[in-house]
Amino acid sequence: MSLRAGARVARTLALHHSEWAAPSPPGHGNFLTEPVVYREPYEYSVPGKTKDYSPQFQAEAEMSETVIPYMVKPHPVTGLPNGKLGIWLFLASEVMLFGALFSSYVLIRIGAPHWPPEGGLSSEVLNVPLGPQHRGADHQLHHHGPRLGLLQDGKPSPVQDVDGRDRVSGARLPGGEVLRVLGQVPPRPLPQARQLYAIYFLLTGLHGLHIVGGIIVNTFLLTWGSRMWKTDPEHFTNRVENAGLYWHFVDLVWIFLFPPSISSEVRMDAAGHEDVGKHMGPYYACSWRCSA
Amino acid sequence: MKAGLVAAVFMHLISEKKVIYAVLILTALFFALLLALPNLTTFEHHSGMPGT
Repeated sequence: MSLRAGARVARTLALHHSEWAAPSPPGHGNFLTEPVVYREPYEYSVPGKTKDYSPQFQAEAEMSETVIPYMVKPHPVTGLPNGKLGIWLFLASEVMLFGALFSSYVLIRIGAPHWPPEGGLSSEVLNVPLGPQHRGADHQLHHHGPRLGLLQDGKPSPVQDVDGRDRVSGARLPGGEVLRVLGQVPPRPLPQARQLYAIYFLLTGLHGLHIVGGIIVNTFLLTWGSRMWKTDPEHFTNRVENAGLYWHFVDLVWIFLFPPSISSEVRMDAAGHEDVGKHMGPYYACSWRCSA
Repeated sequence: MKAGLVAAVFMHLISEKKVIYAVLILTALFFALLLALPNLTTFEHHSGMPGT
């Protein structure tokens, strides 16, 4: 009993003897269930034991160091099985891990010279279908650019103008539409190109690893792990719940990761040219430290 | 909205023990701090504070 507030102390904190397993006030027959006693009372400081005391009601197997207590039954202090509390603490640490990367991503995006665009976030900005199209054009540019006489740094070769026309004959060369964005071509979107790319691929790659881990755990629970359902169904149910919590957390991460990383906006200026400076997403945003 | 539904329904946060709420509130506070600190340095950088 607490001297200050009078709150009851959890009964199981000092269950050395079987009589302490009785509820207070005791009901009919004193005990809720028939108590099982494994040893004599007053087994304190027994030589060879790792603990100072050995409760009467705990089996020798439960006293082993390899057994994690309260994996099925709720812990008297937290009200939760230890496994569930553990998975929540793990998820909290995951929030901080993704949060650190996401914070870096936000920091660089804020420092981008053309971000945020006019009007702020809108459905026009989160124009997801345009993202893959633009990536396709970007791929063509980098993949076919050298073959078309472009330099690796994105500048037009001496034989082409910025519209992709031959400087001598004026003929349109293959891929000319793509070449219109030439003077503002970003570096190849690889992690080593810019910090933003590095964080982008780290975030999405880490998320992918979490998915792989979740698939392995779920597959285990659906196959070999499901044998526990016959021997210890309550423990198995707790495992499924914990795996479900993890799986839905991975879903939550993607919900927050998807819009800012995949979405893209394509705007045209008055002359009908693609205004690459207004793009959002990792392919064009750049830190203020980046002079490209 | 979707994230809230996933957390509330699928992750059972609509009816959970207080200790989990406490853990999550603490996490949210640290997460907000994590987001705020670098951005505060950004604003300081752009405002031309000494040493930037």
